[in-house]
Amino acid sequence: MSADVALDSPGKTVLLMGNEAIARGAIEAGVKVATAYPGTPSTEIINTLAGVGPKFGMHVEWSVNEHVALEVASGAAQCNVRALCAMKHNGLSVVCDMLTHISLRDISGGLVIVSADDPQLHSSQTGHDTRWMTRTACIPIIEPSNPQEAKDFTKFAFELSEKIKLPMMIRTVTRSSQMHGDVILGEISKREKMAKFDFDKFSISRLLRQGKLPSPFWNPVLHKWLHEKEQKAKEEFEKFGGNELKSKGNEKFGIIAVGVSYNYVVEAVEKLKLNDKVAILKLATSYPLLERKISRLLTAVEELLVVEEPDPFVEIQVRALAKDVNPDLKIYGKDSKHIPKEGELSTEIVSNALAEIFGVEKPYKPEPKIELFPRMLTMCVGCPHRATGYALKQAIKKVAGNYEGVIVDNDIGCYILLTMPPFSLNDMSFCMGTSVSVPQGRYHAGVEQIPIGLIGDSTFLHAGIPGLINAVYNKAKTKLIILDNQITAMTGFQPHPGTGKTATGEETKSIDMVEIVKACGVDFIKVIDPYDYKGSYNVLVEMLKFDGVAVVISRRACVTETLRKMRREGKKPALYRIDPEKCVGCGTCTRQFGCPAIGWKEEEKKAEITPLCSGCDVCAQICPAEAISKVEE
Amino acid sequence: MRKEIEKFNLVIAGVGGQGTILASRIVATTAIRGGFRVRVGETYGAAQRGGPVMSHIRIGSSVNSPFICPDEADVLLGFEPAEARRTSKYLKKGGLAIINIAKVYPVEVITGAVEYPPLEDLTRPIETIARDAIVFDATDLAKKAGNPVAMNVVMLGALAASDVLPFPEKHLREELKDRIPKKFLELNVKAYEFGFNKVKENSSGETAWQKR
Repeated sequence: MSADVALDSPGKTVLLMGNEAIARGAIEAGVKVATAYPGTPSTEIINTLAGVGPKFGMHVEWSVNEHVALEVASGAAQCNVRALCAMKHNGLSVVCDMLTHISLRDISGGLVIVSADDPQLHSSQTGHDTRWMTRTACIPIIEPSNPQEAKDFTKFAFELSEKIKLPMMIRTVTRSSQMHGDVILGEISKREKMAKFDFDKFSISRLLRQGKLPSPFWNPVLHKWLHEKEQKAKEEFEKFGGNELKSKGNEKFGIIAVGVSYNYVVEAVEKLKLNDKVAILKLATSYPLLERKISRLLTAVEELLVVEEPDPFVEIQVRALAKDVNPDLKIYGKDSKHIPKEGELSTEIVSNALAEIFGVEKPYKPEPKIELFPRMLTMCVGCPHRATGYALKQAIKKVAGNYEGVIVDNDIGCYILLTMPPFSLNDMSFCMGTSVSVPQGRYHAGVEQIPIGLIGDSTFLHAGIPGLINAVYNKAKTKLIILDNQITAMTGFQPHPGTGKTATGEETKSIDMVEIVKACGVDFIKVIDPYDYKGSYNVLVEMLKFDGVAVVISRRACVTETLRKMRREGKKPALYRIDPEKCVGCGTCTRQFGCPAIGWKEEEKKAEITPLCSGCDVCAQICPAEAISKVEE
Repeated sequence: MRKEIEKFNLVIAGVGGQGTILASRIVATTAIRGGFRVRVGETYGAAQRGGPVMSHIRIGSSVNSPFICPDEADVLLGFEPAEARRTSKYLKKGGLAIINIAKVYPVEVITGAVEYPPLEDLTRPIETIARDAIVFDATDLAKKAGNPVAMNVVMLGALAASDVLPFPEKHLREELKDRIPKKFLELNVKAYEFGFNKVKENSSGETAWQKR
């Protein structure tokens, strides 16, 4: 995190990441409550605020999941303070229920929700466009194109949200979230944060009693109010400086560039030297549609290109509008197949699309492929998940006879790296918590295999608990392994309710996972240490044989965190070596265990331990030749 | 006050843990201090786990996108030879390549599943694109400075010495001093000087500078 985020130096230019700039925008807007569940590419927003927020009197939390995060933020925004809630696009799917409720109700402080989409699926299982869902809730959408706008638009969104009493969405994509750029800092808010729940405005009971809401069915009225607010947002957007038409007034070709796409459009137009031929509408608000400004462009030009990521969200709205204002307009975009419907865009893609439309040579040719080894994703050296995966594979072989004797539903976290050989422990994976519930469907369908779920600690607390209760209640004899590394590792080591620390580093109660599992009614619950191979193997065999819902918690702190801690304390991991006399070259430690710290000497057909070793000891326990041992100093 | 240069494009390529991100921050912040417009784009999804890390640093009044298009980078700073090769499509014809030849083996090579290609196969294609290719063992120089981890700073020194940056070399040096914690400063200044001198010395001779 850049320390510049918290600088009280208005006018100074600093380098900020898009997400850091949103955090700065929240500081400048005087946000009191900021919540999120970590998820790439949104995580740095709350990571940043967790570091500096308390200095500004801000409550910053990693919530147990996105739904709770939005509920907490909404609760605050009805108490006269400003609240921010950030999530990745999958998180927005989780919050949809609350989203459609909070937009119906009034707020007194501004409420800004950030959804960071990942159209290229860099670090996600889906690449969908969250703008459709946001629109369902009638929440206005603002899309910054660079870090300066990310900061400024966040601040604007708070002001507008508070003014019209409707939540606002800051919608980013991977590139606007992660792009770094120069940002001119603004004033840090000195806003008085007087918390107050205005019963006369919000209390449903009081409003009914006073006859201000129709009794007993008051909700239809709220829906009408919502649409009035939506109309107000539309008017405000027409005045908003973030939407800008760059035109000399005589161009016959128009481009609507939405959010981050503006960068690619400007560079593509430059590349093709079309500057004098096209008018560009830089569109920062994708919903509600900027009808007046867009209509002016639609009636002035003969052809139009709409550029956005990833769905034709604005394009469809513009097509509908064009039917009224200029039916003869030729519209290019995703429907015309000039702009791809999948993935993120680039200057190359937009340049080539424009070249095709203008009938000139495409400036970017497909690159010849370079033959080069890939650097595959792999678990860290000493990762406890590797040890759990290895013990599980051996247990499966023992109980089921072969690896096809089970169906493994994996989940969202570092352990999804067990998908790759030599483990191949991912027959299916969906979204958070599904490894608990999906196997129950397999069980009730009557498959002959044993349905197993693999889930992490943070993911279990996020969405696994109701599924586990369901398994017990509905008698699905599924097995679940909770790979508990005591942190949300994959998104960058955020604490969670089982960690014992809050987002801002304060000590707090650590939620006992064993007690939760017991309270769900599970009869078989055992805790293993994955670094103890034999002990883990025996318990996993027992679990697979158990006639009922069975849960094993494989508990060992994330090795990256452990090594960091050791470095801070000046400690070094234990050294191991392979005795070349004893090594039989069987490949157990290399090909089957797959530890990146174990090298292979091709000429001698023997393994060796490299300096990358973290000293977990598991290879020494599984070596059939007993060739691996700790080096005694 | 913004200074007006149109465009300077730099690609830094390496693997997770090599300090590409820090090097990119130092260059970008130096540019901002000099009053330039800056965009930085990165791919680092797998950085924690030894995956490829690529940083695009763009400086100048006409930069918008965080990413450089193929054939448009003025300089390729390769922290690892295979990663330099992987990203060499970005280097423009007649650009400058500065490459650390110290290899970082991926798991597949360590476990014997694939072979790491000969160094020449990686550097030769880059040398045919580049105006100049400065190819040397920066990790070794960092070791001599006191810690192989300072390789990224050796590379920054080499970059600064090649006189391509749109700001004075001493600004980079100052930024480095501001950013590196005091107790590591001496080591890093040494590493920077080693990289700097390597290029300055060689630019007068014809050996490691492969003039063409």
